[in-house]
Amino acid sequence: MKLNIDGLLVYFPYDYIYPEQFSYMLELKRTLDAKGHGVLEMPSGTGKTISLLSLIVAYQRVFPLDVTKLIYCSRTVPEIEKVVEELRKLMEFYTKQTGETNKFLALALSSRKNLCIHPEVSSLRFGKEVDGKCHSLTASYIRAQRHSNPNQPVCRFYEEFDAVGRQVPLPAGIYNLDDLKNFGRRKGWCPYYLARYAILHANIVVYSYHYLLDPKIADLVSKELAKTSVVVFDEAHNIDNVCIDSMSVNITRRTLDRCQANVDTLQNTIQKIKETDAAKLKEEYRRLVEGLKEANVARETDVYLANPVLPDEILQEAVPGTIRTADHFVGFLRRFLEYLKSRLRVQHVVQTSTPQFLKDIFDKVCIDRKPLRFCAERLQSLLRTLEIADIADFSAVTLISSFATLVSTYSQGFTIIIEPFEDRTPTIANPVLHFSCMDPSIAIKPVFQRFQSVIITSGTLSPLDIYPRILDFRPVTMASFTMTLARTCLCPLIVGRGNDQVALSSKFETREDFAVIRNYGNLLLEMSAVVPDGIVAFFTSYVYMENIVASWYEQGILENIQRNKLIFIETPDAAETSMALEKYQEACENGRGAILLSVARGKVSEGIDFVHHFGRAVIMFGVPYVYTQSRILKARLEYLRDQFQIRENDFLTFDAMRHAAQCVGRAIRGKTDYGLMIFADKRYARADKRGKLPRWIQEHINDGSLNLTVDETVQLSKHFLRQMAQPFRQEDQLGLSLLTLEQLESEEMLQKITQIAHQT
Amino acid sequence: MASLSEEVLLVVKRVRQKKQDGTLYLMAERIAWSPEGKDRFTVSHLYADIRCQKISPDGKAKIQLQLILHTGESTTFHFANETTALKDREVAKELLQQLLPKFKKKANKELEEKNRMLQEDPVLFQLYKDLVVSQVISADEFWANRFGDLNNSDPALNNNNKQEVGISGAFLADIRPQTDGCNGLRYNLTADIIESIFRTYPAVKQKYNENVPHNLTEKEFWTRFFQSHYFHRDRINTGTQDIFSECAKQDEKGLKSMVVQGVKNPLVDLMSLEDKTLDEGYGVATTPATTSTSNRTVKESSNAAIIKRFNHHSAMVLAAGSRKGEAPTDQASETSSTDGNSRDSDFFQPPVKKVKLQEAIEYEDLQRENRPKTVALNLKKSDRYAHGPVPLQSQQYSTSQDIINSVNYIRHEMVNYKPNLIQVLSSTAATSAIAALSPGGVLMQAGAQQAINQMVPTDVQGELKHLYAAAGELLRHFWSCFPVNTPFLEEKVIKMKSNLERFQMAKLRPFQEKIQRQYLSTNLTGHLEEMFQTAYNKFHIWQTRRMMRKT
Repeated sequence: MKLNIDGLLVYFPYDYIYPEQFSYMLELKRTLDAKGHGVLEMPSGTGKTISLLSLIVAYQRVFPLDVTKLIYCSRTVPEIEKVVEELRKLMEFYTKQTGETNKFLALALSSRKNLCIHPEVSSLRFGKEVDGKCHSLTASYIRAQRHSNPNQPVCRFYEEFDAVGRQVPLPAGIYNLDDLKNFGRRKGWCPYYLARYAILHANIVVYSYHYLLDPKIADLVSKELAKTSVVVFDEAHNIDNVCIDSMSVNITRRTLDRCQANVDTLQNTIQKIKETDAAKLKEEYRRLVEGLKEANVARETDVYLANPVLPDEILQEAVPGTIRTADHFVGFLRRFLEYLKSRLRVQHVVQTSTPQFLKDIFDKVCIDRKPLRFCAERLQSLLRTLEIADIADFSAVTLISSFATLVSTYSQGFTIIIEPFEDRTPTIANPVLHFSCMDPSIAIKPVFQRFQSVIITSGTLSPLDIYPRILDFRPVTMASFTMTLARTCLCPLIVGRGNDQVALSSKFETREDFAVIRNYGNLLLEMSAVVPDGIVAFFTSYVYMENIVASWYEQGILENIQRNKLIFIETPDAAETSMALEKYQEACENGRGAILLSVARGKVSEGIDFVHHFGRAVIMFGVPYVYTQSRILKARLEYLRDQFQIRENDFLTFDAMRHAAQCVGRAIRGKTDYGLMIFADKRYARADKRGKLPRWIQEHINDGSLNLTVDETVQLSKHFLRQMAQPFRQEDQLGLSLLTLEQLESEEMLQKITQIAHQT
Repeated sequence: MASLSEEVLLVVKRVRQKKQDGTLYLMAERIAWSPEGKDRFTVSHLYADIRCQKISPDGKAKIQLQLILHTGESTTFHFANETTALKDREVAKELLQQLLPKFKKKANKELEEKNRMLQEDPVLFQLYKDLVVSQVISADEFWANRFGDLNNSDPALNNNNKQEVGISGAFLADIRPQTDGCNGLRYNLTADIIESIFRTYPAVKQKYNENVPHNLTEKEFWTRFFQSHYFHRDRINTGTQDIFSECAKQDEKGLKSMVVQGVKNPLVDLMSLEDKTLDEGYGVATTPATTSTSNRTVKESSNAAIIKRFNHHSAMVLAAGSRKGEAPTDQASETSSTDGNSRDSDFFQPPVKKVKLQEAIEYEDLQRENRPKTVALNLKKSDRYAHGPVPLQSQQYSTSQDIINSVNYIRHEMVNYKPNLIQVLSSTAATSAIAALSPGGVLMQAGAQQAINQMVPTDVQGELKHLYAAAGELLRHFWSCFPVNTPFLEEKVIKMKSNLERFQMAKLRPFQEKIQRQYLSTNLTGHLEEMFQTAYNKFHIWQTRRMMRKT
């Protein structure tokens, strides 16, 4: 259908539309018009992606100069592929409606592991191995060596691409990862480098967060993307953690040992080169003096190790004299390493700020701040000069040099914590130096500054106002949309008591209480008898789940559950869990029914959807608070309090509730879907917790669904499931939660739609 | 009755049945008992007919063995030999235990099949009730005919019916251990549970085949099984002398291979979910990492073992349910699936992935339904729909003008109508003619049959229908015997004739009396009687001819 969104003609590839989609597009249009940033929360399964794509593509067609590019960031590879498929659908609709072949180029970009077609390299299992192997075949000096030595193996796909691939732009069309690979195979070009090159002139780029947020990768991949792009972060509820992760470093004794070995290898290689080809080192020195590093960086395949700090922080100066010669630099690294070793030899926990750390390092080993800042840069140059092929081996020294650069660049927003042992095992020495970023806004700031519109969207962003605060930006629109429903297809219930009136809670004091564990078991048992097909249960942490499962086993609860459904359990091993997941789906598929026990904040809770019969009920055992005893977390909370005036408890609750909402939201994927959401902890009933759930869940919690006993829950569930099992047809939805074009254009409906968006 | 070629597996003397001494014979296909001093069996049961055997508890004065048949009847044998009674009984029991399961499957399948047929076909069920339950003919006779037809004519149908029954996820939970009062536990195992264990854990079955009966007795085997860490999932593998430790290892291997094989659905593959993992050393470790197995406590690793076992158990139960008899194809699909997952054969992967992706982005309610709109069938006259179109009579449709014209014409005629009174019937003659022409009158007798649905209450109609069906079935049996050219058919035709007579007495007569009581026309059963009569006539002719031939 063709829509008129505030004067913009939008092609929407469906015959019907949800009212909230229309509302969402309106808000989005306003954000783009204002060339500002937006925070939009819309329930999962209401067609967020297609609304976003429809509007932005329409906008790009009408105002090609204002918005030149859409950068769509998602979290996981399947999500990325889904987005591209939806885009393909939209483009097909355009072609059908307008009759003209579209001139859009849209593509997905992923790591080498997902794009490589080299038979040997692509058979490697881990991403890092693939990257390393690829580097050893495509680095510029390797290719230079081939001129003198034809036996030197190179990647023929890259050679081919390098020879001809850049002249002809990628033909317009929609390229998913597999399409890129097929195209690459047909042409004999490397799909990865082809995609990296093509994103510069593509209209739409879909890739993962890291390509924008992790400075090490962003500098390489996304540096030249135009300022007039619109950036969308989908599923952005965890964006702050992604930012923090990419800027934090942990150093253990093992890292230092490996680093030591790396430095020794460097030393030896330098010695060897000195004997054979001293000119090379001299040449490097000359380059560094002149500050001509840029000329070399342009070689794309060489930039394997990028600078860990953000682009605008890199000094436009030459490398300082103290570390210019290779020998001096290696000596410098040795000194730094010795210093770190001495810091790790502590008996008690130490927490310092970065300025303190720098002062200490100056006092102890006379290392200045400036050479430290160039450490990563210098190492990169050295590795290139020494023509080291197997760069994956040098991860330890790279990490150390990244740390050096980071620690000397940022004086604020970071903390250094040195722990001599783990809290749980105080007798075993295992010193770790945590260099941890506490301010997510550092990593994301360049994104906000550089691009004209950044949209942060997800199904669970409540409370909305906290994101602009912790990410430190000023949005022009902030809106939360509800889900218009013809029937109440979600049923949130808060279970507060067992049948014996024991209060249910996962709080620390009652964690080991048998009565609570038993009642949790009863809840699961009774639900397994009532709910058809799949049930997913989430626990607050892995250790907690292990303990509960063990005691359920002892009490025979699991055996009784097995009478109703098969049981699958998440394990720390991803491969094992994948298998369990697939079996779980199989069991749901063939009608036997199954229960999946899983962990909030785990991989399952973040990346897997449980549509329709794969999840008819989600049970959240306890409130998934983060492990609060961690010093890093404490430091971060303190920082949030001091810098952003966010109270510790507010943040902790916010964090717990967004994960809980994420978990329960997994079960609902659309209006024809239905599911129970059971919050099994009496603390959920409190207003401060409940108020932090997304609006579309909150509005279905009434007083009748608070602090229930297990029996009451079962009764309500039975009632709900019986209602939901009735046939649900399109006609039932029409006019209420599903609109035709005529219905949409009626005055009355437009009135209603304006109320869907809840501005804050 | 007893063909001499039967192999006798066991003979037990001095077994009493109904207070009579005799000898018990266990043969290849049946169990039989003959009284003392006679050479024929008064009791004989096919193994296939036996549902189960029961034995009297140890310590009871009488040492007995009871056989319960599928029909619900039971036969009890009392082992009366003072010295060896217990041993005799044990031997008989053991042998029966081995023999019964072999026949059981066949019997069960047949029974199930019969049951299904009866449930699916109400007419057949009614027939069964009329003929078998009221003991007009025996169940075997009833099925003999039917089953043969079915087996020959419709093999496809038969194949479909062999649906595999899955395994309950909680079969291990069903083995409730009971304390026997003196510090021990008793586990009750049934054949079903044992089968479930074997199907779910092929490794245990293998062990069983290896060890039973030459190394261990069955009882010992299961005792060890329940003692093993294998059964108790929280116990960690400690001893190697346990015969099940190898099973655990095999399981582990199986689990590993499953894991290595990976998953077919790319959307649930957690390994490839992340696009770019953080390099080692980066990131915030919020939870203390205790992945190193060395410093885990015993408790923790036992917990981990439980979780692993549960995943494995569920996977095995699931696999056992879907595992068909034909292993080779299974193998083939497995290997192909590994191919599909290895990275160099990407060509295989896209289809599954594409389908899953398409499924994931589908919004069914946003789309207009694609299939052509159907209109609900709204029948005003269902009989017309059922009979199909009636050929048009070659009549001319009249326009409204014609109708008006003819009405006018009739009116005009009526105005001018003058009765011709000379040719009119007398009133008495007219009434009698009307009476004769009304339903039930002399001239309308023949039409009574058509009007049956008005004349007779529905329950009588239903009964009549059943009678017809049953009689038809019997007559079919009867007529199928002709021409009588074998002794077997001869026997059967005589039996069928008596069956017919019995049916007439037991069913038809009461019905006739009933309708007489309700003052309904006895004509209702006339046709039935006629059919029977024809059959009897045929029988008599045949019989007289036979007599003549014999003399």
